[in-house]
Amino acid sequence: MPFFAVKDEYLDYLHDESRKTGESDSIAFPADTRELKSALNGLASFMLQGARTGLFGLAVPNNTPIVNLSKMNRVTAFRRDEGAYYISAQAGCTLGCIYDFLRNPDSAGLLKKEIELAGGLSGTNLFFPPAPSESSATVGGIIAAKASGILAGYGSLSEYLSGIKKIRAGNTEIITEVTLKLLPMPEYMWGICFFFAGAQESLEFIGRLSRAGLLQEDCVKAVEYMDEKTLGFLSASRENAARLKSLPRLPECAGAVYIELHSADERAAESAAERLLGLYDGLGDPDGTWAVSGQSETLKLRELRHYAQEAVNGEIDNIRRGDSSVFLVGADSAFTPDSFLRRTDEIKEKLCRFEFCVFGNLTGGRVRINLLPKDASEIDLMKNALEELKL
Amino acid sequence: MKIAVMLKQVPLKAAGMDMVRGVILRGQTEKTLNPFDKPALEAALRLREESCSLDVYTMGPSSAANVLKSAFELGADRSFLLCDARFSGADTYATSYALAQAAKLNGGYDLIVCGDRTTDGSTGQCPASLAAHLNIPFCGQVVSIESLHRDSVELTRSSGGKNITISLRLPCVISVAEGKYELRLPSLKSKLAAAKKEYTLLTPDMFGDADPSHYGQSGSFTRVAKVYPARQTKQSAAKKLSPHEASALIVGEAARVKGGAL
Repeated sequence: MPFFAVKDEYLDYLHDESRKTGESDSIAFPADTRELKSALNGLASFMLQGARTGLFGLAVPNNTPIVNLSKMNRVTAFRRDEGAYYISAQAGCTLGCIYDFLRNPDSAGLLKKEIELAGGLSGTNLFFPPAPSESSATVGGIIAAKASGILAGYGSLSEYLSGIKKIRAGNTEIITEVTLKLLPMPEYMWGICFFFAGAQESLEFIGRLSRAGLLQEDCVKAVEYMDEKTLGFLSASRENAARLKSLPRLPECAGAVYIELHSADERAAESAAERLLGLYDGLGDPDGTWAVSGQSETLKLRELRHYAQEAVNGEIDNIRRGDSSVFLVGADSAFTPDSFLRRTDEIKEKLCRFEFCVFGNLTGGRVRINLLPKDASEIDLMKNALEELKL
Repeated sequence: MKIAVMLKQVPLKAAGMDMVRGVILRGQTEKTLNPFDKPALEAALRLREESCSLDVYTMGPSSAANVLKSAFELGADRSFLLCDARFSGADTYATSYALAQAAKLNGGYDLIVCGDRTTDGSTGQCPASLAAHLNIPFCGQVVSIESLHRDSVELTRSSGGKNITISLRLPCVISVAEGKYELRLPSLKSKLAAAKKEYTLLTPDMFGDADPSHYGQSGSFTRVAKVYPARQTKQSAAKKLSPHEASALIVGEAARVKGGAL
């Protein structure tokens, strides 16, 4: 298995989405388990990479050879079993490749065997509920990082992980192939965005959802909070983000809550939407909300939340133009709506001297706090503040 | 003041063709509101906010009612679906004739707003043809509706890279170009309210001219003889470049096209 010198087109592999940069002399791209074993043979230490979409710098090499799995990117099996669907793919297969397989099986990128497998897709409209927003993430990376997307109402990632193949290299277990459970797209989908003039109102809305028991409703699949700063980053990046341009400009506001409803019953989705509107009473302008339905329109509106992290990364890139040693500082923390409400003031107080933004999933409990250092001197202060907050 | 918007439902993605009849196989793909109709609808919605009534029309199969539902969600007052086997296979002439008959049925309009063209047929002929059938003026490539008066509308239209402001006598038909008017999203309140609104079905028997030979394929003057992908006339080799080389090439090319430095 050949290793290449890390220069020219391979320099990108020295960093990941955290914007941290490491060092390495060599990189290999195995395409299957046999080549992977060959690449690992004799290596005392190595940095395993997928698509490098992680935000915590876990794919940044530290003077070790890089073994990148992006060429292990094929769908290997697809089957239907007792009404459920399962797809198996090599660890380096991206979600985007899986979507291509599911939605455009005649696309040019598929191998002959994959096109044959995709024959079983006829009449299906499938999706992977825990999929994170980043479609360039690899399935191996998603499983290793326990990453998941906004549809927390479908349950945890482990409920959709049907099989996993691994090999061992020293003390490290390496995922080589995963089997994921897929579900048919729900017949009725609604995406609703509520805007708030004050942060307090947006948090009160989340509290009302919790107290009314709406978070436990079967059709409520996502409840995502975005603070004023996040919305500001989204507004600023709209001009250069094709994915956001199909949406209207964001209104001036201090917070937003994005909710997704999925149901097989049209009336159930509508009834939940009516209840949401009732709970919004007195907290914002009901004529200023955004509401869409249907798969394609809902996926478009979901981009608003999906793009939040990319908008933040864009801000970090702007800062890095002045100081390349800066990187994103952040934490993914578990919150219930109530604990989030209780700790909001404390978080604000500890972090108010920094530029920071908050967004996240309040049904699955994962809220992302991003801190954007003005320069490298702020990084340690930010880390300390997060530690003090135990985030 | 009465305003109407003519909408069309189009395939969301490239659809298959019936090569014999030369028509799009509309039943086999997900459908959506024609993207070029969105600025027209937004322009009309803004006028509606100034005490105008807004009706929307579309012609197509029963599934086309979804675009009427979308218009209701955004605030349209009434909607009309021209749906009948006798409308099937219409070219732009027969389509605009049917729409003109429908508009007359409702007593006519002060202003009829259309999209610039559609993503499926892409002829851009319907708005002007509709005006001709109604014997009223037409103005295309409208980039802004400046003001609406009792008997005229002031418009800015784009022409040859320049904008021209004109005043057009009412009633008239205009087609709105992309740019100023980004279609709003429905609010949850209006979306829920729209669920209770219903469209009106229109068929040729209801029109002043009920002669079926004037509608659909029989009322059409054109037939699509053949549909085929455009022939590629030029082939360029792909270049493999480093990021530095690629960015230098792009900057150089952009400067060459603009005739100077970026």
